[in-house]
Amino acid sequence: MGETSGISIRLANNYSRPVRVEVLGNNASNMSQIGADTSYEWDLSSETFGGVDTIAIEVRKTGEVAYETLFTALTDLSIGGCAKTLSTLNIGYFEAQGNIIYALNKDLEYGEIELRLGTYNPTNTLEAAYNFAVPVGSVLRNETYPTQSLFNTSFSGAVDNAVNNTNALSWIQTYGIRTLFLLNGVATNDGGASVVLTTSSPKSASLQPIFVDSDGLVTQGYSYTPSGGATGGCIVFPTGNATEVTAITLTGMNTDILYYDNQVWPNLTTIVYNSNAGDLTSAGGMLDQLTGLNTFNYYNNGVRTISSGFTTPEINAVNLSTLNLDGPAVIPASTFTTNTDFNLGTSSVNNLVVESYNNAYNNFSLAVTNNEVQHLYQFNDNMVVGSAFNTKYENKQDTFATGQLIITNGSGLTFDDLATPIKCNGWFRVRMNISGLTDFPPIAELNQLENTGTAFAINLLLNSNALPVSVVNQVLIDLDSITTGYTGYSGTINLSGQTPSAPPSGAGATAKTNLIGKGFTLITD
Amino acid sequence: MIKDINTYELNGLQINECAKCTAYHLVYDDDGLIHYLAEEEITISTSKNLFVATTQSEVADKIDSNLLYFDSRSEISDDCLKEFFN
Repeated sequence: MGETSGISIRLANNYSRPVRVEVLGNNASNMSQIGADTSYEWDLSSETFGGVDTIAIEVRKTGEVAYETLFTALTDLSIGGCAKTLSTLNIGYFEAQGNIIYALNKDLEYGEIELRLGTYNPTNTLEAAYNFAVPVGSVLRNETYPTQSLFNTSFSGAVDNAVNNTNALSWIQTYGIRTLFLLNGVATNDGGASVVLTTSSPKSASLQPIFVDSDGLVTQGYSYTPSGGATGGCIVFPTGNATEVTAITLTGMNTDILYYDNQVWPNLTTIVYNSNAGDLTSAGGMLDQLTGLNTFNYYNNGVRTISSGFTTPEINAVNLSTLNLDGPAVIPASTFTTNTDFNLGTSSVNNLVVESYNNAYNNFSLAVTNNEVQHLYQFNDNMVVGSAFNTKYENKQDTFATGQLIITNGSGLTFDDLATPIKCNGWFRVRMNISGLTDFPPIAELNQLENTGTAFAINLLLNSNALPVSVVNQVLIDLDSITTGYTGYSGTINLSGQTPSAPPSGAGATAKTNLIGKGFTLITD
Repeated sequence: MIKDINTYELNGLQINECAKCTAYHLVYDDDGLIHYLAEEEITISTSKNLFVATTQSEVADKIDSNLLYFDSRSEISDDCLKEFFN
């Protein structure tokens, strides 16, 4: 047989999209589209591929009643990837254009395409949540949740319900475990408990946070009231984040401070825990990644003992400027077992209130901003002024002109270092009164204007303590000594109300007269 | 009863001083800003204005007639804040 001179085939595509054909293919093959008489289209425009790991398609021989479902792993999470993957099933060629998948066939009929989510593995999910919400090295992990099983006891119900009642698994696989924010642990919440998220602009309804607790799905939106008896809860973020949230206020909850991820909360400026039954510690960085956090308020709902090693509060968020550990009226006391566990962290806080933390060694770890409005410690019994205080504010300026450092309304206030003369500048007012103070260090510097002017100004209020005459005299003598050579003087020095009465005497009385003559107001017993 | 105020000069300053007594002690400057107000048993010496009285009405009258005010610079006891400014 002689050679042919070639085969000439002319193909015309009547579709507006590409069509794959096998030239000289085997028309018995399932891939063959020869004589195809049916065009199929699947619109996947609404598909987000969140959590998808499998693609399935219904298919049957023409004329048969029942479909078979074929499926395979899907790794290319795109419309094109779906088409390519379906084409590997040997049931025809699938093409993608835009959000549409097309196929042509005659011998096979196609049904639905199904994108399947991964399989929920509670062990893996809870392990991821544990490692995320209570990071290795955090005090909360060491002290409260040292084992996975303890963590699971608190949170597995909420996580299970999140997976079972929402598309949480899909979002976890898309965004990571951070799409779950755990709220509270075991034990019921207080009456009237709530969580309120404040937004700059709410997301569309279907993308807003979903609240789930141990009782099941609760609500979608920006506020949550725990259902009766709920013992654990979480927020699920369909978008993997809460970029619209600027503040979170938790009231009457029983929740520890779990890890806040800055990818989830990039615009969170304010965190408030009112009447909380959980413990307060950020040690290990639970809040430290929040670059927007400037205000943290917290008060607990009952008397408690802080176990040894439970460093409190140790918040080191870089932009924290208001730290308020206070509530309405005088809050129930928290007493440290080990006084050095009181740790304010190193943030540059301008507004500070610490109330009802007993047996605290306060080593003044906060950074100096020169713009302190108020650092107020009140109703803290047996506070020790740490040795770092003596020279902490040597170089402080008075950018905020009426900044005040106050320790008041406590008992048993003492100084760790009574030998090193204090250098405490930049404050308009230094008030350590009504605190049972029995001794006071020598004073080397105590001038609001020391680093910013030539005058000497101070309001030193040590009234209503238990300072003896000898200490009252020494304070006056030191102040008279260090106020020499300035261009002007102003302020009030209040040493009155000591128990027992401690009127200045001898050199102390002379110093008092000198200080009055310089222009200070003197108040004594 | 309004207490007597002793006045003398020290280093060119006129000093106002009261003997130790239990009374309301009110210190204010010429602008009307209250620097100190409390009811205590103390002795007080100041180059600012000093008013000492034993009754609440006397202090209230003084505050009203002199248009006295307070701000973050004032040292006023909680009780006096409630009595005179609430």
